[in-house]
Amino acid sequence: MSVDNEPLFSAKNLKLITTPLGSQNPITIQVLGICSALAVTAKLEPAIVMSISVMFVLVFSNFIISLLRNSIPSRIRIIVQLVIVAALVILVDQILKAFAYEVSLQLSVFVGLIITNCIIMGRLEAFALGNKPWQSVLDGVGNGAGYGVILIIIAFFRELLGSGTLTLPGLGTLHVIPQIFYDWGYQNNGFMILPPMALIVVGIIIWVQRARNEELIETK
Amino acid sequence: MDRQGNLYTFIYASVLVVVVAALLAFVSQSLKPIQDKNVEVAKMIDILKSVKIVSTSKDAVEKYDEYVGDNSYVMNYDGDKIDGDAFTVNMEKEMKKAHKDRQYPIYISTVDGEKKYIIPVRGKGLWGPIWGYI
Repeated sequence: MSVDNEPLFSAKNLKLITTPLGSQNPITIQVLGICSALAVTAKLEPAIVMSISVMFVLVFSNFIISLLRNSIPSRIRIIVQLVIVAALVILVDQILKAFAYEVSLQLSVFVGLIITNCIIMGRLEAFALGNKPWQSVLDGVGNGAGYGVILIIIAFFRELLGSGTLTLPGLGTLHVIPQIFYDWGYQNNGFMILPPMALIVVGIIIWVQRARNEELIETK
Repeated sequence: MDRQGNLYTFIYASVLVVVVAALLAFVSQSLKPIQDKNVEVAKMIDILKSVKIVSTSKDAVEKYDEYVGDNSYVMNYDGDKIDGDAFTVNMEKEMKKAHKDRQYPIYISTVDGEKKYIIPVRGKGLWGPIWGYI
């Protein structure tokens, strides 16, 4: 818990953002939110939109639950959390259907399934219920970013190697692999677009992260 | 009031649900016209795709007017033309009716001087209904 006159971006508060990006990453360390990481990473654009959506839900649900934390009856706290998260997810879904319809079709049921994303309920239970709103917002930003970074890395490699393109919001589909490579016999690896390759890419990211960070290397 | 008591819990849950429902109803109603427009544009893109005309959400309305426009009509089960706007026929609702009561929309596209008939198709898929245009 922070003291009242603690600066907004004190070292302790900043750690709430940076730790989930590295040694406490929700996907690669805590292995949460894996389902959507596999499902929406065949292209970069849906992965970016999904990351923003999860971050939005995470930040606002953390903030609202933290504001209400002293008034929520403990017997119905999970129900209250679910109502808040579900409302925010429906809000995101409605906004996507209005302003990013094509992406919302690509994300299909996975926007609705943000409700079941373990990261969100996990952060509400583990952090927002016991901390102040500002710290909870930072925790939401950190964990949302930690989730998003991994999603975007996976989608980058899957789309690049699987389709030879990169699809970015507002820029459309960029053909990154030059045509001459295809003329020389290069072929896109269709296997990359299938969900099993997302799992393998996650595995490689975990391997690289554990190899580089000594704290994460298990001694036994 | 006892924050762990039944009355407080009941009032808390009721107020929360009413506030959330009111907020979502407001957002849904506010965004509905934009969402309906998006669904219409997506339908135009699908219809154009069946005659190999690639369009995006930005130019779909323009291309639909150019290649299809008002060249569409509604048929009954016997194949006779009947009154109605083909574009507004909701195939999901039509498929729930008996065969003879259904309306069947037909779109006509003229591409490079060649007339092409576009027919909506609908069937059962693994997770739910699948549909498209041929």
